[in-house]
Amino acid sequence: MTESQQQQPTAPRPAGPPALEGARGRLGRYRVMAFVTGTMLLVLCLEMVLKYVVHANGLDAAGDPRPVLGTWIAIVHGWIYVVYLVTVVQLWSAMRWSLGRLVTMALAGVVPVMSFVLERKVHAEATARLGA
Amino acid sequence: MPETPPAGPETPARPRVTLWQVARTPRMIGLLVLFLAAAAVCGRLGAWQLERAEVRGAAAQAQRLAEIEAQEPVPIEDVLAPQSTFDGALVGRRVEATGEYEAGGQLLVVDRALDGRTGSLVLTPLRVTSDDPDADGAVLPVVRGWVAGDDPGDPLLAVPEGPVTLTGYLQGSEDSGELHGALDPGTTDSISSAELLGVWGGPIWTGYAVLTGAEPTQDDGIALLPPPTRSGTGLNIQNLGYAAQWFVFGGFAVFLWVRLLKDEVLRESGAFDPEQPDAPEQPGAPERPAAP
Repeated sequence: MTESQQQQPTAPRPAGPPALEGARGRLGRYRVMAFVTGTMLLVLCLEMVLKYVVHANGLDAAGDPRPVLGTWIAIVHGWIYVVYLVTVVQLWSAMRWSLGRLVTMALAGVVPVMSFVLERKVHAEATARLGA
Repeated sequence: MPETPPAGPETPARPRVTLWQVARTPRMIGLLVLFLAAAAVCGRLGAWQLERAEVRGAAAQAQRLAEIEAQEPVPIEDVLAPQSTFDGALVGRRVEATGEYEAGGQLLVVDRALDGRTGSLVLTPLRVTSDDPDADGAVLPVVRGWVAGDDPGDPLLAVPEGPVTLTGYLQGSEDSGELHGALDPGTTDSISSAELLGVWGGPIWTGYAVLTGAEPTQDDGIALLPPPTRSGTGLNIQNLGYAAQWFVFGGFAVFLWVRLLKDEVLRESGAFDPEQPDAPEQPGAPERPAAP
């Protein structure tokens, strides 16, 4: 507790709640995952359209559309989204944002393009709060 | 965790709030119900995906079997030469071979299950006759089927004499088991070409054939085995992944409630104000220097 005496009075963050602790690192990880998830989601959408709408690779013996780019895209996207959620929860937790913000951020990982848009907003807000 | 409550003008000496007290507030109980419901939904979705993984895995397995059964048999020497490496893609390949069984070499592979019953496989060497000089005279291990007992003297096991033409599914050789001699005479515990080479002599194929039919026919007291498949869990990997992800999401819901609870405790204790995190929320903290 005595260290807090060295803190600048304009940055009143006493040793009490761990809010914003390590927030910068979390912001960086969130940013990376927002881009990766967003990109992967676009690839997944492309695959969905090619597979289910265009039937680019035809149908299999059972009459189901065959994967075009590969089933791995859906599998990988699922796990990337899990990692994205982890970074979202970590950042949200550090920033002490509202529950609604968390829901929005989680949603951004499954709505095409939304993660890119939201990431900009989140990044700007977080940077402002962290005092750049 | 909450520190000693600050004695500021707006927060006059609040009592220390425990986790348990906060957890019992209507707001936190309501949130708990909400999050548990969300976790339950996630769990249910995970279970559903597990079910789908099983159904789709079984369907894929059935389709593979159907494909294997629909194949036309090809002469074994066309797909695999004796003494050459067995490629995993050959598992389940339908082959045919002509030759003569060597009754003296027949072994019972003990402790093998068929439809949940334990018994033995009948393993008989077939000395192949072929136009192909590489294959002619080589030994093909043939699993003629399954019997309930483990007595090599069972009359059921009598080996058909004379030339025989058989069809069967290819399967890769197993690892060597116990040394010969450690088991009862006429029995073995593995179908290992490396081991059989020492017993039967070579050249030998590095896989074996699982009999599906022979001309002349053999005693139908020996049960034929189903087609071999490459080892796999029979679960669809994609749905298995989705199932795991749903369970992770369910875990998230529970974790979030704990997180919110801790925040609430801090707020109740006046330790911080999440609505105005940038405001100096502890004006009266004793160890803090006065603002300039």
